[in-house]
Amino acid sequence: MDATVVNAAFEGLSLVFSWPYFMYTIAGTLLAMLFSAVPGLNSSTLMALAIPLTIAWEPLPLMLVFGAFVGGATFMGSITAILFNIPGKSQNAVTLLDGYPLTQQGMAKTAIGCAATSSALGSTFGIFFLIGLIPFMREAAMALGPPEYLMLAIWGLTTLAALSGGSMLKGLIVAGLGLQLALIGYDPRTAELRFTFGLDYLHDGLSLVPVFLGVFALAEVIDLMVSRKQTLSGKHHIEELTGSVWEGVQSVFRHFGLFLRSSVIGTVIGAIPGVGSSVAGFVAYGHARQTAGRASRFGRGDIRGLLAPEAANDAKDGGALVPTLALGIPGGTGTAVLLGALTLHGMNPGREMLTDNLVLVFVLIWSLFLSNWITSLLGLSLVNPMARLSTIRTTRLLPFIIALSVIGCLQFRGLMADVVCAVLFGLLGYLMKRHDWPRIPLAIAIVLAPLFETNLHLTLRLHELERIVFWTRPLVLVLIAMTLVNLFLPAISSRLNAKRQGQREGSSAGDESE
Amino acid sequence: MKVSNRPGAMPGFWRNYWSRNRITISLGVVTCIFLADSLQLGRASAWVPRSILLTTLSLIVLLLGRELRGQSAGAGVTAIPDTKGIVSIVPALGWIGAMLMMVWLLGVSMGLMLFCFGYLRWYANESWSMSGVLACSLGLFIQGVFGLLFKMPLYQGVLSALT
Repeated sequence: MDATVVNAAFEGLSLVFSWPYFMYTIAGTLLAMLFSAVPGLNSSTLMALAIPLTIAWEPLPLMLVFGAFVGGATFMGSITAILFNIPGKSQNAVTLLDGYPLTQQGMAKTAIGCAATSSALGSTFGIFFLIGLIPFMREAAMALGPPEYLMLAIWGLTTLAALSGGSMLKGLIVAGLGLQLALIGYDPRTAELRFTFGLDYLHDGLSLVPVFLGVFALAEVIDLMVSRKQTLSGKHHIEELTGSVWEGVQSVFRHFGLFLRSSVIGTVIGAIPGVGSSVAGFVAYGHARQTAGRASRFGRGDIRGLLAPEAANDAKDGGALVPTLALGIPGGTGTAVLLGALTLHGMNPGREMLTDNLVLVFVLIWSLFLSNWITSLLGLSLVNPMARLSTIRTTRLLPFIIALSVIGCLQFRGLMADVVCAVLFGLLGYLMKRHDWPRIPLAIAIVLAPLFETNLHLTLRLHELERIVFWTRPLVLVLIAMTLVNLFLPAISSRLNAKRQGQREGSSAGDESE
Repeated sequence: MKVSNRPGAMPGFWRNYWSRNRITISLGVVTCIFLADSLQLGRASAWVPRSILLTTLSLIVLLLGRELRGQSAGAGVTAIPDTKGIVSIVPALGWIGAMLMMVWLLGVSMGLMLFCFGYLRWYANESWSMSGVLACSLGLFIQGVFGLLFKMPLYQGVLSALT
């Protein structure tokens, strides 16, 4: 491995474990755990709230806190899935299939022990995979020019639109809407004002802070206010839990092969932009079920049905950082908000991030690593108090979350108009959530728009000057092919499926008539 | 409410179509407004926005066309007027609007404290004492963490300028 990378890795590690920086990771992890105990809220909401409040911070504590936010929120959702049959987040939906039956059999602590160990080791696997890839990511990022960055932005947008859930057309429309909103303000080339509609506020364009706060924080707040959900677990007190934590820990090592395979699945799926984290868990669960043999008790409390998705869910965090840090294309919602935070702090993922800010990249990675271990160790040692977090009443926390959003908006530029803008985007985000429109392409399009527009103009200029030939660059051609696959494969496969189904129905109708 | 699924059967068909596609139609209207605004841009500045806007508009038309075809082909489409959703969001938006007004007039600390008290007491049906305690805690939290610890200049509100 490159000596620069090794030195940066050790420097990052020493910074994460040094005083007082160590405390940033711990505080960030605890905050992420608290937030993930509130129904409807998650680490993305927390990160959106934290962006304006950390705007004046140095990059080092920022990376520590955001790394902890990414890593700290996952495990809490598993606890509610195991104990109350309520998945804290969509990615924990698969955890309850075998987690809750184990609780019903009096093995709640065994299940939590297994989930905690599997999560911690899974995240470690994903993070070391990411570290192993960094030298290659650096070389790849160095080889990219404006045409490749342009195509990466287009490919990233189509991938996110295609895979962010629901209809692909809706995803593409939302991405288009995000791009048009990002065009508000001065044209970077001609300095002409675009789409300001006579409002001075829009001259500098839409700022990421009110947009992210609205779409990811206030939208959830409005949803909670409308749904009037009381607590995450639906309970106000928790009974004493039974089972053996140690037995759960041992189960991971008894099925170590399955754990490794599930971690690989999670890491690879995490590295594909836009593929939801729930996919990683379900694919790992499916794999565990297929390879388990006939005597398995999947769906009725098989520990392997818990181990596999937990390993995959946490391993995917490391994988999701690969496209985010190397290409500036986020893997999911959490990394999308993280990308926004990095951009606002003047750190551009890609070549710049992997050369000038390599130590900071490692600080982020080690902070993620540490926060995953902190949550798992707390899960092993403080099962009952952690379960009690799920009884926090939402209505009492909402004013505090609204206060953080308002102060965050006002802190950013001191403009009341930013708060109004955040509320409008909150309403938009709520309506999108309610009507099953994906929100990630909107946020990503706003983040990627400058990359898209700048590189589009650069590419065209270089092409005009005959400094490059766009159509002969191999990576550009690969990315064009991948974009076309994104756009047309779902339509082609659904047509083929419909045709096959029609043929099957035709043949079965023929059999019946005979 | 059972309505006809045939395009000719007015107005049930189109009411149903609107209730299913109001977000898409609204996005189409927004895109058209942007497109109209782009007409006043110079040639050099206009082509990127216009390309994006026309692509988005084509996709919206495609989605609306697909929905229309699907609705026409589907048997016995039932219109579910989404009045419940709209009604339930009105109080929540009212409280958020009130919060904006209070913060604008009274500043962050006082405005959010008042909002917190009112919201907890009358929206969340908490007791008077719990609402009071939590509202005061929020005020202390804002002043303590942001005012004293982070030394942030907190927004004072337009009324403070008058006094």
